[in-house]
Amino acid sequence: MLRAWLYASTLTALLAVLAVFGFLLHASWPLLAEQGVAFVAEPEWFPYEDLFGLLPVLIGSGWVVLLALLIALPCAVAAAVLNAELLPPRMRAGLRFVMALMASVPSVVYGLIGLWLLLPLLESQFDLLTGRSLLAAGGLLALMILPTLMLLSEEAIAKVSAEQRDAALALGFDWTRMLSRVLLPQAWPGIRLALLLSLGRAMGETVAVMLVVGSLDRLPQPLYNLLQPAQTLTSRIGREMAEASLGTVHWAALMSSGLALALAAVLISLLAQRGRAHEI
Amino acid sequence: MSEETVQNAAPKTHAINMSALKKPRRAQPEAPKDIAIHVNDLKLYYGDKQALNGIHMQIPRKKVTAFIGPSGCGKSTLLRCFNRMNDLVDGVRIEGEINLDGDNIYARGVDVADLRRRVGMVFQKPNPFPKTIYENVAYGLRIQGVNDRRILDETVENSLRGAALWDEVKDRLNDNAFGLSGGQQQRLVIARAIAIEPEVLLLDEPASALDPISTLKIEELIYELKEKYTIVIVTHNMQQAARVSDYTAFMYMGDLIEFSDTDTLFTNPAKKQTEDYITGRYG
Repeated sequence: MLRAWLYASTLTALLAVLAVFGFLLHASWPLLAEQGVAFVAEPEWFPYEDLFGLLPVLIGSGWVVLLALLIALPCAVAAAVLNAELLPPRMRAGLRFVMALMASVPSVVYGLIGLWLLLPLLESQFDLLTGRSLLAAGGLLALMILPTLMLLSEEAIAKVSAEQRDAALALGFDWTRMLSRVLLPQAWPGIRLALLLSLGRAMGETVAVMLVVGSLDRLPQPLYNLLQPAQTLTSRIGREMAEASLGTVHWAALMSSGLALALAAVLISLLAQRGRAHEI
Repeated sequence: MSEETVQNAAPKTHAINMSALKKPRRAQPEAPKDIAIHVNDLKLYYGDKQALNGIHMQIPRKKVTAFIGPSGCGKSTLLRCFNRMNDLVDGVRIEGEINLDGDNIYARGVDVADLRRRVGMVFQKPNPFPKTIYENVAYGLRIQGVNDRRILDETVENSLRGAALWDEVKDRLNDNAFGLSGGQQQRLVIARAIAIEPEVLLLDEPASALDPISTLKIEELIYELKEKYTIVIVTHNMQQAARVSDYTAFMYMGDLIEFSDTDTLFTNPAKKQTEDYITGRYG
């Protein structure tokens, strides 16, 4: 009886996952049937003329995620090392508490902070008409993934055994070398996992990004211009879903953006799985 | 600890005959010729608690000196003073001197990393790095900037031979060190320590996590290693101390009670406390 229940539950979960992909594929079908998959690499998004190019949002999403990781990773690992290795226990607990608080703030609140602080800062620093840009979205996402990235990295560093530290020190490693040759390499699988989790979070984040990214449907000019307004997969879905009528190709195109996001998430979790397999 | 609780502890069996005649002896080997380490009035505190009470001792060069005593007597703490591993423990304060070849290792400006290259250490639990057998032994040299393949190859072979492990691993130097047995891992760790050519080797209960056959191999190895290194070993096992060491120090509650050549300490101890311990009246 219990066994049947276990099988049934597992099967339900499995079917639910398949159903999500089935639904997304089905909902994207009007667009796929009309335009094939070529739209993925098209640069124009103009629903009234049946142009549904995904390239700008793919690049936009790519940029904000990359920026977020590039900004957050060094800060998070540095803070993790400081906290795990150098701070006295009481400050350590304090910092962890603050980070946990930061991690629990709803993302829309981060969006508001971005509007209020980050945009004016960028406007005055770079003399821009609007601070809404890839950089604003990337910076804000960095702030949002920082706490989790730091807490998980710290755990990974603290988990390196005392025996390994003793071994390095007794061999005459100074602290810097113990850090670079023993602690960080051995903590890396954990940090990598944290990084992939954060990547998924950054990629899927919608509201905060929508508030600061500028929602402009075009490629940055030139492609590495991070100070221009842009659009991401999520911000477009968030902004346009309410306007698209059910069953139209526009609606299907937004569904296909969702499908692209879901596929990317699967890819990330496959990478994470592979990392775990390597660890063993 | 009261006398009663000490006496209630289960007596240990031992295979050492006590000679009937006992004459008082100094707490020092009789004719210390060549001394590697001078310990001078060493006091160590964990916060307010004093763990070493003004230790004086002289450790002979290229001999095996064993520290014995009940748990918590300070023998591991003292051992860890010789390469300043206690520096890392929060709230530790150390007074006094330890002179290694005439230089006080607790003097201002001493490079601790450099000291630890001169004074190698092997721990209770084998702790190889998660790397190949070869890289484990070569790592200390690599850290010092040695990258010449020939020198590395040579050092790895010599060190593994020195640790009596070469014949067992020479065909799988590129296998992960975690694939070795516990006893092999411990000898690998010894090879790693001697690869950087220390003067002193500190062994902190090196065989206590090993099976009897591996223990025997480590003991044989210690006997060979003393030709080149000054060895200090902490052990819980009195028979082991009697088998491998030239000199033995008996410690109790932070004091060095008696220090003499091993035969004398085990057959004709000067102090009542020593006799009580080696005849199994302490836990």
